[in-house]
Amino acid sequence: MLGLLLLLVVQSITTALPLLLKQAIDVANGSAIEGTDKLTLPLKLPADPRDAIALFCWVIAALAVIGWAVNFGMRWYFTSVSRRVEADIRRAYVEHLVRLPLRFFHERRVGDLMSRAINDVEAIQRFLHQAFRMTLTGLLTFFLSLTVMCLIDWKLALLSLAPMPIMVLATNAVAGRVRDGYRLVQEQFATMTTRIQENLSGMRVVKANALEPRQIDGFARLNEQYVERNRALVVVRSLFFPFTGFLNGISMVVLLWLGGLRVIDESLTLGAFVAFNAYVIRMSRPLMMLGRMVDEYQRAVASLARIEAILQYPPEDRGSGSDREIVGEVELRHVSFAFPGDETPVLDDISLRIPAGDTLAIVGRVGSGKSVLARLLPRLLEPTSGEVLVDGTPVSAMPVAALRGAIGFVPQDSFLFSETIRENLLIGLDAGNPKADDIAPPDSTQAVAWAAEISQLAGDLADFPAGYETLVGERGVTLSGGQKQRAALARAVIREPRILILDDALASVDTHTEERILEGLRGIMRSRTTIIIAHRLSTVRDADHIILLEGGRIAESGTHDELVALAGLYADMHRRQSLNQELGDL
Amino acid sequence: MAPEESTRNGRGLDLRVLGRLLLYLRPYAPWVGMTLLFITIGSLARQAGPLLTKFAVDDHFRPGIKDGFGTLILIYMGLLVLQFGLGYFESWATNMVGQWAMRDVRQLLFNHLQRLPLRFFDRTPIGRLMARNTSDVDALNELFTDGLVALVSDIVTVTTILGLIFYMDVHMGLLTTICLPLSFLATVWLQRVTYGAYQEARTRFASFAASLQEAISGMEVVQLFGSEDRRSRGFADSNDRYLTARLLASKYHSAYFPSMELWGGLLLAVTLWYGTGQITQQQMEWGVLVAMLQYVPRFFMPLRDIAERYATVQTAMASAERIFELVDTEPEAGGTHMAAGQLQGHVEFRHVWFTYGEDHGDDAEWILRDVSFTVAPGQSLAIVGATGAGKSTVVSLLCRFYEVQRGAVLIDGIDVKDWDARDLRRRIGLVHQDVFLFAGTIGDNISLGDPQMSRERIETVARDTNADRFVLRLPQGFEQPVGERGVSLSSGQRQLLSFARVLAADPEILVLDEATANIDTETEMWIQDAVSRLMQKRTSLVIAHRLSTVRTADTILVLHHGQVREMGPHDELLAQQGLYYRLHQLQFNEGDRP
Repeated sequence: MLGLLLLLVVQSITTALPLLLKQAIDVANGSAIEGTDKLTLPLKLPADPRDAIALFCWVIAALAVIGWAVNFGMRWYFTSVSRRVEADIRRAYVEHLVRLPLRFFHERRVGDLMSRAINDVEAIQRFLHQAFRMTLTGLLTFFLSLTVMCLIDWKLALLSLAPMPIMVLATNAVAGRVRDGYRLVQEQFATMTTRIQENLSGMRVVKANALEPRQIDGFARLNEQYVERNRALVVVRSLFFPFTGFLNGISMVVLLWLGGLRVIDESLTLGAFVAFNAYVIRMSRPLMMLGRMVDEYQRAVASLARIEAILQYPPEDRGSGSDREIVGEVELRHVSFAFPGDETPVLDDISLRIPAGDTLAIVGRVGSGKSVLARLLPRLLEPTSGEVLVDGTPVSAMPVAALRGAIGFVPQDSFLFSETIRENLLIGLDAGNPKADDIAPPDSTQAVAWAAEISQLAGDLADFPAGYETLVGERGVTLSGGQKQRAALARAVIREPRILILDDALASVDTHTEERILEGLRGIMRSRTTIIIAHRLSTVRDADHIILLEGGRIAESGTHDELVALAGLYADMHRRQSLNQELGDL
Repeated sequence: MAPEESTRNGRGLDLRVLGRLLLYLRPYAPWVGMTLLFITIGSLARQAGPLLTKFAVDDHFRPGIKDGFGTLILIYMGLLVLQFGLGYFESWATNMVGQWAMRDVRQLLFNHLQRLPLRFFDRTPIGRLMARNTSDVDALNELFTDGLVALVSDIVTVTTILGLIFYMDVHMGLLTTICLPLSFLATVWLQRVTYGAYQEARTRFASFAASLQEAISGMEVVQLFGSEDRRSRGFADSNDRYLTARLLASKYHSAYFPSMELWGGLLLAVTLWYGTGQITQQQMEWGVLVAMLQYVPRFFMPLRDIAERYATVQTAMASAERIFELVDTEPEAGGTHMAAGQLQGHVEFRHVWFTYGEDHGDDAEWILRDVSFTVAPGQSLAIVGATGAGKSTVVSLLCRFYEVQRGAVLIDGIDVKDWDARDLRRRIGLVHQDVFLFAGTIGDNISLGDPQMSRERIETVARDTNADRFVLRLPQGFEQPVGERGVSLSSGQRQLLSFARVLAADPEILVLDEATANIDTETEMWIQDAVSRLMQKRTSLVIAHRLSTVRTADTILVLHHGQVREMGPHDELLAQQGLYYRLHQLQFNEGDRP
C-alpha cells in the first residue's frame, strides 16, 4: 500500500510538471484562454510576470527534488519488498526440501531443484520488482496524462492520440509472433547444445573414427539453421521498435499540425501546446512496454507453479509413538521392495532376525539388493510389503528422529560436507541434539578424537597442518577415497549408536587398515548390533551370521565356515578372492 | 594445467581483448560500417522533431502565418519515414551481424575443440566447455548489440542534442554541458558504491547455492543424522546474509536511477527561467525555448543508459577472456605422414613407458613400464591381465590418444607421432566396451554419418556382423532412431552395432575391448561369430574377456602392473602354470561367472 501511495505521488508530480510549464509559458507569453483556467495550479501568482515565473521555476525545481526523493522511496520500497519476498520463498522452499522423503530426491535431478531455487525464484522477484511496478506506473501515466490532455482540449487529445490504439494492436500482434519465433529459436538452440554435448562426451569415438570433419559439418548446419531462425525473429523485432517510434512520431506530427493551427488561431495557448508535447512523449513508453510486461507476468506465473509443485509434495512421515531407549534387536518379516514403476522387486520376501548385540554380514553381487535392505532400517526407504521391526516394534510406528538417532549409518559413497573435518564428525551428534554446535568444546573435542581414533583417521589428520580444522572439499583438501570412508565411519561412530550399519563402507580402505578398524569396532560394538555389507570376504568372515543375497532373495546363510563348507556361491566367491589375493601378491 | 574459470568481473576495459573481439567483426565490416552510419543518421533525424517545432513556433505560431506550415508538416512526415527505414535497417543489420559473429565464434570453438587432445577432455568438465559455447558466446552478442552499437547510438544522441542546443543558444549549451560532469560523477559514484555491494551479494549467493547443492546431493546423510534443522537454519542464515548485501546494492541503485530525472527537472527550471528572461529581453525566440524544453528530458535518458552499457561490456569482457583462453589451448600435436594405399598392419610397441601424469622418473605413477611387443600383419594379439594392469592404455596409445613419455609405438615401422592423426585412426577400427551411440538412426550409427555410404553397404555389413538379426526386429529397422529419445539397446546389441560400424569403415587394424557385461547366450554366440569374422585378415589387438578369443589368438600377452609378464600362445602359457594360468582360472571359467 505504501508503495502504491508513493507511486501515486511520483506520477502526480511528473504529470504536474508539464502543467507548470504551460502556466509559466502562458504567463510569460501574456496569453491566457478562457476554459483552460480550471487547470491552473492553485498558486497565488505575484503580479509581476517575472516574479511569477521565478515562482514557477522554484516550484519545478522543488518538485524535481521531492520527486527524486519519493521516487527513490518508491523504488526502494518495491525492490526491498520483492527481495524480501524472494528470500521468503527461497527459505520456505529450502525448509520444505530438507523435509522431503529420500524417494523424492531419487526422482529429481539436482540441477532441476537448484534451478527452481535460483532461476524461478528470481523470475518472481523480477516480476514483483520491475514488471509489477512498471505496469502500475504505465497505467497511471497513461490515464493521468490522458485526463489532463482531455481537460485542456479533448478533441486535440483524441486526434493526436489516434495512432496509439494501432500501437497496442501492433504490440499484441508482434508479441505473439515474437513468442513463437523465440520458441523456435530456443528449440534450435537446445538441438545445437545437445549436439555439442554429444560431441564432447563422445570425443573418444569421434577421434577414434576420425569423424571430426563430419562433426564440424553437422554442427555448421545446425549453427546455420540457428542463424536462419533468428533471422525471422530479427525481422519482426527490427520492424517493431522503429514502427512504434514511427507511430509516436505521427502523434507528434498531428499535434504539431492541428495544435499549431489552433495556436495560430489563438484557440490554444503556446503553453498548452508545450504541455501536450510533453504528455504525448510520456504516453508512448508504457504502451510499448505492454508486451514485455505480459511476458514477464506469464514467466513469473510459470515459475511460481514450478515452486508450488515442490512445496505441495508431502513431506517425509516423521513417524509417531513415544521416544524410548532402543536396544537394537532387528527383524525383517517378509519384506519386499521394488522401486516405483519397476516390475522386478529388488528385495523379494526377506525374513531375518538379528539379536541385539550381534553382527550380521550381507554379501552378494552388485544389484542384489544389499544397499536397499540397509536403507529400510532407518526408513530412508519404505518396504513395498512386509515389516521392519526394531526391538519388536515396527519402525513405521516409531518417531523417525529417535530411530535414526539410534542408528549409525556409513553409506557407500561416504559423502562429506565442504566443512572442516571436525564439523563433519560433529554432524554425528546432530540427532536428538539440535544444538550440536553448543556442545562444550572439551566434550566434543574428546568425542571427535575418540571417533577418529576408532576409525583410524587420527593418524592421517596428524599429517594435515590444520588437523581437525582441515577444510574438506573443493575449497579445501581433497581426501582420498579411504580417508573419506574413514571420516564417514567416524561420523557414525561418534554417536555411539545402538545399531551400526556399514554399507560397503570400507571398500577403499586397504586390508591392513580395515583389520585394525574392525578390531577397534569390535571393542565398542560388543553390546551393539552391527550390519556389515561388504564385497571383501575378509571383512565379513568374523560376523556372527552371514547372508548371501542373490536376485533379492537370501540364497545362502550361515557362518563363514558353514558357507564355505556349503560349496555354493559364497564358497566360489571365497575361492576367487583368495586367487585374486595371490595374484596381487605376485 | 586445467583451464581455471576466470573470476575477473568488471575490472574495466581491456583494450587488447576488445581489439581481438573486434577482429571477429571484420568479415562484416561493410555491414558494421553501414550500421554505424545509419545509426548516426537515425539518431540525428530523431532529434529533428523539436527543431521543426522551433521553426513552427517562430515562423508560424507567433506571427500567425499559415503559409508554408503544411510544407513543414510534410518535411516532418518525410523525416519520420526516413527514420523508420533507417531504424529498421540498422536494427536488422546490428542483430544479424551479432548473429553472424556469434555463429563464427561458436563454429570456431567447436572446430577448435575437435583438435584438442583427449588429455584436455580428461581434466575439463564438459559443463564448463558447454558454458563457453553457450552463455559466453551470448555475452559476446550482447557486447556487440546492446553494448557497442547502443553505446554509439547513445553517444551520437547526446552529442546531437548538445550540438543543437549550442546551435540555438550558446549560453544554454554551456549550461547543459555543466550537467554532463554532474551526471558523470553520479554514475562514477554509483559504480563505486555498488561494485563492492554487488560483488558481496554475488559471493554470498554463490556460497548459498553451493551449500544448497551440496545438501541436496547429500540429503541422505542430512536425514540419516537428523541434521535437517541445522541445515535449514544454515540456509536461512546465508539467505539472510545474501538479502542484506543485495538490499544495500539495491538501495544505491534506487537512489541513482531517478537521479537523471532530478537533473532533468532542475535543468528544466533553469531553462525556463533563463529562456523566459531572454525572451522578455528579445534575446531569444519562443521556438527556441519550446524546443529546449523538449530536448532537456531527452538528454538524460541516454546518459543513464551509457552507464548500463558499460556494465554489459564488462560482463562480456570476462566471457571473451574465457573464450580466448579456450581458443588458445594448444591443439593436439600431430605428424603429417599419410600412408599411400593399404597398410600392412604391422604394430610394434618399443620399450614404451607411459603415465597419465608427468614423467618424474621413478616416482611417476607409471601405467606402462617398458612394454615391448610386435604384432605381424594379419596376426592377432590378446591382452589379458587384472583390472588396472594397463590393458586399455595400450589401446589408447596405439590410437595415439595420448603420447608415450618414453619409447615408441610404431605402425608399419613409422612412429605414431609422425602420422597424421586422422589418417592413422581411420585405419584402426576401435570397438569399445561401452559403445557410444550418436543421436540418429541405426543406419546413421553404422555409417557414422558418411553420406557416401550406400544403404546396401550398411545392410551388408550389418548382415556380416550379425547386427541385422536384431535390427530387422526393430519396428523401423535401420531407420529406427536410437539414443536418448530412441530405443534403448542392450549392451550385446550395441556391441554388434559397433562391429558393423567397424566393418563398414573396413580398417586394416582391429582393436577390440571385449564387453564384460552380461550378454544373453544367443547374442553371445552372434558376437563370437562376428568377432572371428572381423579378425580375419586383419591385424587385431583384443583386450580379451572370453576364453574363445584368447584361445584362438596367435599370441597372448599378460600384463601385470603395467609390465609384460608372459607372452606366447595359449597352451604354452597354460603349461607354464604362471600368471596366465591363474588369470585363466579366475577370469575364463565361463558358465559360473558371478
